[in-house]
Amino acid sequence: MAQAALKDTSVKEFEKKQEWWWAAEKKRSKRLDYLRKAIWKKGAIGGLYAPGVKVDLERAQLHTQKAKEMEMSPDAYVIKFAKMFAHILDNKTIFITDHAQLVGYTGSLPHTMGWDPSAASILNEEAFNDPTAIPDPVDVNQKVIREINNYWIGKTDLDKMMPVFDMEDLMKMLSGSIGWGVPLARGGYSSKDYEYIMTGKRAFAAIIDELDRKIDEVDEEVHQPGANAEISKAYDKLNNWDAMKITLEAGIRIAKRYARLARIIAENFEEDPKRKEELLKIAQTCERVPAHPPRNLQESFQYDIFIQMMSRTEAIEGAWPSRPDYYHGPYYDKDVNIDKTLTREEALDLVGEFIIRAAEVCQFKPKWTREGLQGIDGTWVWTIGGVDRNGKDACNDLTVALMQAARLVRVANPTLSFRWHPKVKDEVMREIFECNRQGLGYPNMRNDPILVANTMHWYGHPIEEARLWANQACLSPCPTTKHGFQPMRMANATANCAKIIEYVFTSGFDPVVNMQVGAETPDVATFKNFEEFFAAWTLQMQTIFSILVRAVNRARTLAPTMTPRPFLSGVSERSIESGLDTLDPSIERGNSWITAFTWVENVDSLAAVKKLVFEDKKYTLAQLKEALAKNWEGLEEMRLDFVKNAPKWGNDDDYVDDIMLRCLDEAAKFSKVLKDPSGNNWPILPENVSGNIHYANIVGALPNGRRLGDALYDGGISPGPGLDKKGPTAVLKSCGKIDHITGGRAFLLNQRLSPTQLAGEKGYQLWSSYIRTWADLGIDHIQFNMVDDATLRSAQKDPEKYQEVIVRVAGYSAHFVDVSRKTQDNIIQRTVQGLG
Amino acid sequence: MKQEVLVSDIQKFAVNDGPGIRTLVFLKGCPMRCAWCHNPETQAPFPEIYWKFRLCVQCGACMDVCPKNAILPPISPKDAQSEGSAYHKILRDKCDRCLACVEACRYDALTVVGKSMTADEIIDEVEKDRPFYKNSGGGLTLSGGEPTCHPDFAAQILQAAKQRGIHTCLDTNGFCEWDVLEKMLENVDLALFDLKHTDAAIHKQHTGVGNEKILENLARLSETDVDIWIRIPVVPGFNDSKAFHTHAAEFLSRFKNQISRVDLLPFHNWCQDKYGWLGIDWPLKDTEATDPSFLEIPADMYREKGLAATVGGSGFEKTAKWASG
Amino acid sequence: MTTCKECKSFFPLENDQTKGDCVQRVKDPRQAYYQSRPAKADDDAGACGSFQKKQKT
Repeated sequence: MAQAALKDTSVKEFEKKQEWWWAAEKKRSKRLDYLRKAIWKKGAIGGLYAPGVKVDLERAQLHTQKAKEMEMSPDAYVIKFAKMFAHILDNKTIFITDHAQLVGYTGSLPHTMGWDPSAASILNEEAFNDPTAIPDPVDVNQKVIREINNYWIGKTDLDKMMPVFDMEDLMKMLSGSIGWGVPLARGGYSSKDYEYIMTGKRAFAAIIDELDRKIDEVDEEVHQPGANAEISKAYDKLNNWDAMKITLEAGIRIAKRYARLARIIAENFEEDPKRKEELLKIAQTCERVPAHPPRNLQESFQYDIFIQMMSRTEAIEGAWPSRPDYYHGPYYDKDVNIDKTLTREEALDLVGEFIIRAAEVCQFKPKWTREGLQGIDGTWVWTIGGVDRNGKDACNDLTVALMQAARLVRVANPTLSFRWHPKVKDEVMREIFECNRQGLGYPNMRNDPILVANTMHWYGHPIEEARLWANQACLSPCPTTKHGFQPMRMANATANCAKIIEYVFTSGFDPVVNMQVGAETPDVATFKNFEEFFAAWTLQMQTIFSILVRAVNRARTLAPTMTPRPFLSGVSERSIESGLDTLDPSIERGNSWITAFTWVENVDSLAAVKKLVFEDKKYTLAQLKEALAKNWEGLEEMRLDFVKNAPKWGNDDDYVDDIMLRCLDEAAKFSKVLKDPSGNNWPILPENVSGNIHYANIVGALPNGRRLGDALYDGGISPGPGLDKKGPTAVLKSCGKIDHITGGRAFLLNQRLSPTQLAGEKGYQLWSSYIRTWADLGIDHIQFNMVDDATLRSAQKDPEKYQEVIVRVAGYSAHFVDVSRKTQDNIIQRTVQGLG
Repeated sequence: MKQEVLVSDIQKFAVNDGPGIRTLVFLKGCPMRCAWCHNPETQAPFPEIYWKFRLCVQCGACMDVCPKNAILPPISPKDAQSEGSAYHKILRDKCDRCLACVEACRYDALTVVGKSMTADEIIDEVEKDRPFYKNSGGGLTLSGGEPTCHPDFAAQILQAAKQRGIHTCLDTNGFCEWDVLEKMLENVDLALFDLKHTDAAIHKQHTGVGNEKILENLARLSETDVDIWIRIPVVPGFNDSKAFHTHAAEFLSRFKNQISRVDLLPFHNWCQDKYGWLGIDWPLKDTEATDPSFLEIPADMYREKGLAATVGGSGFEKTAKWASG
Repeated sequence: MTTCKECKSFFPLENDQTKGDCVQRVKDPRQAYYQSRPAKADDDAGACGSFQKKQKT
């Protein structure tokens, strides 16, 4: 839009036209507007990074330089690792953006993406082979990358881990047909012990004192007369503690560097007295945190940003488990309501900037990961609302401010996830509604009583800890407590479940990657009844899950020594106490889950086989096997029979809904057979992110009528697009038949609702009665996509005009114009539920 | 044998037909022929065949099985689907609705409207959304066609719903004998009562029947303790004049203590596909849909007379009167 | 040899004048910011494209 037109149109007019992005631009403060537009958008579009976004060579060089320097050092690996970490923080370029009040970024400069060359050679090769992401001059820097890569070949974490995996499992997994990602603790989703570090009781300096006491104590012990196994282990503990200390000290130092930069700008460059004051405030803040606990909202946010920045320097974190209102809320209350040192508007600026500091973060990723994420860098889902450890409503003024700020900055990542419970106040519900109505696509709703029970059921957390949960990635609640938090969940325990049903027809042979991946079940044509067929399905399911889980278990077992996390350990009470790396499974209760991509295809396919083959006897299994092998070619009538004349999930039809329950029951049973290294279970969690697009050409024809190449269903337990013919209430009813406590870990449900339906007070009344029923039905999750088809079609035709149209793509939010055409079509194809 | 009636559709998540989230049951058959009818498939009391031209690949399978030669030979799908094409697959006057063609169609291009259902089957379907009724104040809305065409059957459904504790709305055009209506009211919580026109001659001209019986029934209804919402479909060229609204508001104000709401329903032409599928030429197809905001002015005329009025009839719009009740 | 300590962008540490930070103003297509990198007073600045001689005060 032309600037003049933007100026002449009032906020009200924009709101009336539902042009929320323009309304937000008009409504937000000058500072927020500047900072919002200052973001270099780093989520890859169709697998490609935006022009100008570059791999950060500085960190890779610093890392490599220090590694070379320490090659001959006798230090334990964990110490060397900590020193590399410290070297990066001490020497990286830092910056302070104009108007910013919060500082800290994972890369060196605003347009850079963090690249850790020590993680995996396959990632390093991607950096080399992606000239669009290599900084200018490309030819020179390509050589720099070559040198870095050459140094790390055979030395990266993954290179070192490869030989210690079961080679057969690894080959099957890396074929890309059944799994996602690599089993490596240097990359994944890290929950944190917020109860230890974010409750104002201690910060880095106090932890360092505690570490000193521990080190002195044990050092003295090991030199007393005597010798035993405990004493032998003590040396490893001493190394771990030393390493933690090195990283925490480096953390304090880099904060001081920011403080110094702020003072230098204030004293030498800045002329505006107001900005000078702000810079001095930044300096004071960074002198205070992370060394000492925060005293106000700005310090609290800054402390959190520093911890995230350091943790994301140490590992490639693909998620952002946090509970910002719960941990920062008391500071908001103190500054705004009690001390009145901040006005609500000033506080809103800080909250908005806090979101922006996360939105700009990016770590360089391989192309297949980027494709699976479509427009964002990771699934950063911040958890808000919920209850405290005593079950009391935990919503506070910051809960509301976060949602208000989210509407002003309108970023696709991070998103918000709201822990609904019966005691949430109406005013908070209205804020959630408003965010959704304004097309943000978040907060999504999580059913707190159900999920607290679920978390206790699967991992045995005590109720007081289960109540302190935050999403570890998109959907999996994880307590932010000493033994409750899971420091690393590797993305590769992600099953492409459509392969389960596909393998029943191929006896486990995968025609796409041309290898035997699944179980060698008997020829499908020999099955005489549905029970035999279902038994083969169960075996394929168990086989695929086992391949993925074995590798993750192996990696988690080796992680404390091969891929240690001294910084994350340094902010984890259990590691401070035990001297064990935080990845050590023996000090964790566990929060493992199998992400079940493309799950519902199984249910619809099984229903179609049961109905058309075994009951109606219209086709034989031999015929169906052949049809699938031929990708239905020349058999369109038969294919349509399987699409139209078999019951489909999501229509409140017990015939197929019972099959869903049976599949989940089998998976749940097997979840308890599979154990993680903490001795805990592996429940499944159906969701897709954008896997339905990624796998389109990897999953063959299926008995639900799908052809090779067709996009898979939207994901989770959402019905297939256009197949939910009975409307949204029937979808909820179907989903409500699942026991969301014992049936699995969590279940993603996407629904599109029409903005016209939800306009005004009556829209809110409708939505809130809908939500109450969703809660009554015991469904753990729901997210709304509240954008109408006309807007989406226009966005497809004229993307420039709709830069900020945000839609929901399974499990997270992405800007519509950023997702690939295929995903766009998929979204539009979904029935606009409830629109008259 | 159990009594069965043809149901053209059961629509869940209906939010503009009585309070809350409701399940709307459409019974086939209607004594009126309103020119603007947006459910033409509900008028006839027998099953009908939709020919959905966009899905038709012109394979000719239907023609092969038709015993009455009532189906036209295939033409190119592009021509058949082109704007303004007069081609319609079925010669309605020859067709005896044996449905052989529907059986033969593999592409869902030929489908039947009207499914025979018992009251129990209907109520079981309505029951499914009970969790939504509780939280939204919703329930069953029995509609049509015209439910009073099937007095015993409709009464049976309403009674069954009440027995199960489900809130009931009867959506009626009011064109029936009073004793028929009265018999149903026992199990009706709220009547959605249509008022199309206050002038008998104009009413007859556009709906095929006079309004005398309707107005009389409304008067009688207002003497019962059944809650009433008046529904006025505002149709351009028929009842969108100031004179009509003045008169209607005046008339309705007589019963203002019994009428909780007056819903002005903006005309739309989204039903034109259905007319096309039935092979009926619809005279209003080129009449544009009314922007709901245009009806706010007439709505005020009812409000001035002490009637709570809405535009669109949302089941979630809390009018002053409804909220207090 | 031209060294960092002669440069306008060099800000020495108070407690150790041999070390400091190279602070520069940058405007990229999206934002303006100040960046800082560790530098040593005696580092060779001869090849540095950003070198600006400090004004004598």
